[in-house]
Amino acid sequence: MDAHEFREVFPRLGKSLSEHDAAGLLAALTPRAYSNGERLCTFGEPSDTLHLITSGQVAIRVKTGGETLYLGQAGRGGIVGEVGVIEPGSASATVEAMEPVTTLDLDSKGLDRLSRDEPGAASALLLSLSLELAHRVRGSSTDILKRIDDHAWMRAEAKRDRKGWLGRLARLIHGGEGAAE
Amino acid sequence: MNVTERLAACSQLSELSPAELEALAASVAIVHGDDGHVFIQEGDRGDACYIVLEGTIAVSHEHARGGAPFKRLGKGEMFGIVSLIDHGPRSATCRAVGSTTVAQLSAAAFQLLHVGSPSLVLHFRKLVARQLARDARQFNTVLVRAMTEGHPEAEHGASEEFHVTT
Repeated sequence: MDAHEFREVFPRLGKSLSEHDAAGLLAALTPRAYSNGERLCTFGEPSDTLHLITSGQVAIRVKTGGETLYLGQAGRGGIVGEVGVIEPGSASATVEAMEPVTTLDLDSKGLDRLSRDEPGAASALLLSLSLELAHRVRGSSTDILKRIDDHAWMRAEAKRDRKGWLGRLARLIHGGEGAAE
Repeated sequence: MNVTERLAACSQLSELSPAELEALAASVAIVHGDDGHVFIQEGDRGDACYIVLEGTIAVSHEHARGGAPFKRLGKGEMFGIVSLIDHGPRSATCRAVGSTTVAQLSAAAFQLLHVGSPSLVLHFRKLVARQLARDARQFNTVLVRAMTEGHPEAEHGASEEFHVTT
């Protein structure tokens, strides 16, 4: 993939990248291939890698307390792992290949190297990831915290459709758009 | 302690070089608030973001939990970033808990830090991204709690205050 194609496949990221920075970022990314059923990351396990999806579809799920929530899918142009690459920690979702998937990966050490060698590209990447994270934080903050604390609302929603309620909660927090399973 | 030294005392800012700390110090105003002072009011337009230098900030929503805080921020933590990035209204209220001192970075200064020296821009963007990543991760804690409770209306559920641990 050349810098021009990269900016087309990842338009939001590409918008903030000059041709030079796109080339610098591209050089820092590691191409990876995942087979059907292979996981890019697993909920609760250490994660420090950003995955830029270049082909194939992944399913995003959260599984805990015996409950699985389907958050949606991502394909070519999709980005997962934004939190982990910036603040390594446990993955907040499981991302699994639904077919052969290719990605361009950047782990936190790679981000450090990019920061040192191509500060312009690293800055553009961080700005783009911050925009995405700000969007999620605002969505979670305004829509979720108010409602999760509104016990009357929560009781009514949970009684009506607990799975649906948790699914909507999860999708807001993760920025997903898929339908509940 | 002067402003630069106070910023240097925050571990989150340790990647900034002395010159970058000076540049940041020159961009901020030191603001002091007594207990209960409102630094940010939910719904207002965002005109600044802040770094806690001393004391604690309680973050709350007026229409949730009777305005009780859902998280607290300590020294070196930033708040008020989201509105400066997406230009939307303030999504929460931030109040001083006890006597609190913050470094106030105006929206204009925030923008200027995005076009300064490449190294300062990079370090500043990293600070902002890290705070947002921590904030995003906290919301996941809320989700996991809601899922692991047998039922979302269980006692001491997701409405418990959760603390910043970094």
